[in-house]
Amino acid sequence: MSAWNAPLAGYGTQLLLGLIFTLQVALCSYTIGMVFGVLGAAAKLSRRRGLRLAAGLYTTLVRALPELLLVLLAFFLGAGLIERLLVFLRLASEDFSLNPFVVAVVALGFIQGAYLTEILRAAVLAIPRGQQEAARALNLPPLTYLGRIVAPQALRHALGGLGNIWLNATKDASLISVLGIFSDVLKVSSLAAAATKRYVFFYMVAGACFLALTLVSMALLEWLRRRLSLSRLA
Amino acid sequence: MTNAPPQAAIEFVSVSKAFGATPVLSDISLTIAAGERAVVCGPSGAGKSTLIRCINGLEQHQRGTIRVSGETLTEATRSLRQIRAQVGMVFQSFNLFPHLTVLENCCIAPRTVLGLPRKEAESRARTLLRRVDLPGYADRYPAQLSGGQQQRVAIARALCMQPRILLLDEPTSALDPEMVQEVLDTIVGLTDLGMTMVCVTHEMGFARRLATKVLFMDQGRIVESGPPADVFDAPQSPRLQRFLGRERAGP
Repeated sequence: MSAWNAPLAGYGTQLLLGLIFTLQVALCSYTIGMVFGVLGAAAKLSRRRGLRLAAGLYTTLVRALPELLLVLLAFFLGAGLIERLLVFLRLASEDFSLNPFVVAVVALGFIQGAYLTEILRAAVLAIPRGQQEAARALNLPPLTYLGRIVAPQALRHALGGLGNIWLNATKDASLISVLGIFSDVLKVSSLAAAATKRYVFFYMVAGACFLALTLVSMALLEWLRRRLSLSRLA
Repeated sequence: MTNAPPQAAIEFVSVSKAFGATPVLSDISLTIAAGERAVVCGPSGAGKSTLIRCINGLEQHQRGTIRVSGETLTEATRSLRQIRAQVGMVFQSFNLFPHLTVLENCCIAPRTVLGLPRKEAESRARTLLRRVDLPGYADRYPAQLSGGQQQRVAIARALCMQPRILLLDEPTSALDPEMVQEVLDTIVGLTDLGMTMVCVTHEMGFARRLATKVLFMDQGRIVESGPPADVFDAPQSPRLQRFLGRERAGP
């Protein structure tokens, strides 16, 4: 037992691996959530009524239901349905089953995507309408307008909200510990607590891990905010 | 109107538009010849801005025909592109892109729309920034400039596309009084470029300096039009006489 592992009753390495795993889940789910969020916001801002309705249904349902329930539904219902669909379409063999890690991060991403949809939609709407008119009068191609005018400004408007969802993502990553098949930092802590009977200590350690993630995240977000801030120009 | 000369820059034939049940343009017919500088004036709500915004399709007209340099304006992307390529626009609220520098604001369209190489686009932008009397401001951001300076950047940005027609929609209405003159002087200084200009304004003195033609609008109609000397000094309609009387009596 190495020196730094001793006070943690030998669970130090596992806890560190758990923390890395939690970070992985957060990063993967957030990235997937961003894809859902961009698509959702685009649908909500679309001229097509069908797309707006679909996106509205998505954000309403996901935000209405407890996240834990959604994760459980994704695992026990969603994954099974997708597996059967793939088998039915002959895209997979009979004994195919989805990788649980993939199911977990897609489920978490799907949840975050609903919140990100609303944040991104509001961020785009915060851009004054006159800029769209200027872009049209200048004949700017739609992709140039979206990429060089809308996206950079929407990112600035959304930064606070995006940061909040990221902090949530780090914590939501622990939701999947209830599934019992992943060794995330919360799961490792509860195993260590049960084995050593030092419940308070190990749950405090888990808390410290999450706090550390948040503090590092906040520092990075603040750096990003300063970098992108337009008020520094004024 | 029927025998418009072929060099007409802008032609409206019986153009109408309504917002819901409220008519904003009623049966407007007009011709603005190439190189002419038309000033559109009239009381608030007369439809001046709507008229000018119809020229480059920012607003859609519902009836009648609009031709720009002989090209008929439709809602088709191709038609809009073709017409907007010749028509620059300056807005009341400048509408600069706040996250881009002055130089980037001026270069984004020439580079992406006209495909100009960076060097060429930048040298064109710098030339025009000198023209609007803002040399040395290329690397600033819009928020670092006064309103008058921002509007002059917006003028330079429009000119960078080398439009044949320049639309100015109340270019000084959003400005503090002490900045109005610098922008008006800049606009008057553009006359030697020979562009066709259409300007909505409430500044009557400026209208006289700039205009070769004045259009007076009220309630969606052109009530009177002609050379500034006729329209301002010998108004025919009681509506225009009242309007000018108030302007004179005003501050």
